[in-house]
Amino acid sequence: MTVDLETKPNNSAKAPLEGTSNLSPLTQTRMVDLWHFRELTKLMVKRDLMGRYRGSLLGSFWPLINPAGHLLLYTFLFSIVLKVKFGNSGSSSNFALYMMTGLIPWSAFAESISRSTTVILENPNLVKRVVFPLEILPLVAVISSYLSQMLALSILFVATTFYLGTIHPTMLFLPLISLSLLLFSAGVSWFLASLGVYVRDTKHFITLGLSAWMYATPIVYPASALPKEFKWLATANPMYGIVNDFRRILLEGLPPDWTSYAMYTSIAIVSWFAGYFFFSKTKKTFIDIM
Amino acid sequence: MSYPVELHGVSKRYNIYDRPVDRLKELLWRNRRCYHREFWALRDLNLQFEKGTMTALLGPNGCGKSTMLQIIAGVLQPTTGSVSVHGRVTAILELGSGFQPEYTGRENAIMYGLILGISQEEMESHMDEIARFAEIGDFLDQPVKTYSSGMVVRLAYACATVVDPDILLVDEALAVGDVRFQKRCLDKVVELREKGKTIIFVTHETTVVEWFCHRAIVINGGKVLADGKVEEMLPLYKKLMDDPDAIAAKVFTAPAAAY
Repeated sequence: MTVDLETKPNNSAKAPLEGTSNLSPLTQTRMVDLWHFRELTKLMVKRDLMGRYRGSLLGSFWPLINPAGHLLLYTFLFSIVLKVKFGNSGSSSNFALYMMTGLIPWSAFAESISRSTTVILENPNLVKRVVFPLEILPLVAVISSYLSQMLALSILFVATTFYLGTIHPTMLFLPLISLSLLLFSAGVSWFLASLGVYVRDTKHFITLGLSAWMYATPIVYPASALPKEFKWLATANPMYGIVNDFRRILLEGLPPDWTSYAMYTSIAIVSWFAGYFFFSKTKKTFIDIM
Repeated sequence: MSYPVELHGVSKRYNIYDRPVDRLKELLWRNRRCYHREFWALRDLNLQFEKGTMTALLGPNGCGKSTMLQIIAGVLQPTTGSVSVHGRVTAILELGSGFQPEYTGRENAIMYGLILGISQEEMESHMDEIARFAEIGDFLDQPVKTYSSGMVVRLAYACATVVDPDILLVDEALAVGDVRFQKRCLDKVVELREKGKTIIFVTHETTVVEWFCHRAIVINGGKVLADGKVEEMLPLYKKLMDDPDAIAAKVFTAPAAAY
């Protein structure tokens, strides 16, 4: 019986772990192992979320205060100072809501990948001292970023209801789009988490790269403002379609743009598998580098 | 009959790169280009460890003892050869452990269990025993970063032994604890040994080896210098330690084969 010591967890407490670890660095990790470690992932996500605001006076209110404060700030800036008008359907001219709706999926993505870039390097203990399922580290960063943005989303719901006077039933498409976003974020995160170990410059590059990426995504400007010669961005950049669909279902009451949905979901699935493959192919050598 | 732990021709080579990016380049070139020099931490180890025995690994610093334990623990992959391990392995590798400094002792213990595939409930049921053995009292619910180094090792020791391991690897962890803790650790190890567990031990305390181990392996320069009964190995080890010229030099070599 030949199994990989590093990747096969002991399922039952008593079952002996048999194994031969004569493995090349090319040994694949089976994706089902992620499922075995769901309890561990849950624990770490919980711990991560709790740790963020631990010791602060307002504690668990911060994830709500933050988006609410930003929303007020944007409203003041765009509706009162700059008087920006923007909206595909006549019903909504509130730029702050538009910006916020784009910012939520973007922040979930950006936070996931910027944290993942350093997550392995920050945990040398887990690489060197124990046989730890390292692939869950980027995943913890992704899930935790998601959950914190979910609170922002609840603020957005309240604000949308208040401004629009109604909630669009199309918001039921949200889990569908979120799933694509999750797959995409996790794939990119795995890739960058591994790359970050090899190339220490990754984190600096990512800071710059994320700014560029954000401006290539219609977050602070409407999609219609993009010049014709840059329209290809809409297909090449999955975040473009995702942000667009968030606005369609939450603010405009339209179903997702299915052509673009199919496009970014395919990219998301490919990046999930490719990112995972790259990570598990390279993770065996992390310890030699760190 | 198979042994709980067997090493078949295990070697560990470290590729020494001058820059981290060279490693990635080599990976992408799929070894068609060479950017490194080599350091062999272990060379062709063939060893078997029997059930219910306690073996000491002896040797100068940097001779490969810890690397060997890391390979048996599955943290490190051997470059060539294979290791077969039957049963649950727990390890106390170097000082500290896989603990997260921000997590409490309890959370770390639960995480330790989850990594091994032990449910949270089961680990909770061991918690009193862990707290008692580690003697950390109310610190159990404080972050591990607030612990003294002795407390960290005691917690690591408690976790590693409470989960009923078949194979226990201990890497010089005793050095940090006070005399009383050292004694309790050894008692625990002897208890495990008598239950038929396999224990592999790295230590420089020759008295410990003399009293508790069945077998000693002297390692020098990544190779087995001698392997046998403790009373025969100890004089050899002492001789090695007294003769600086005998201790293998650490040299980087050019890769053997052309790529």
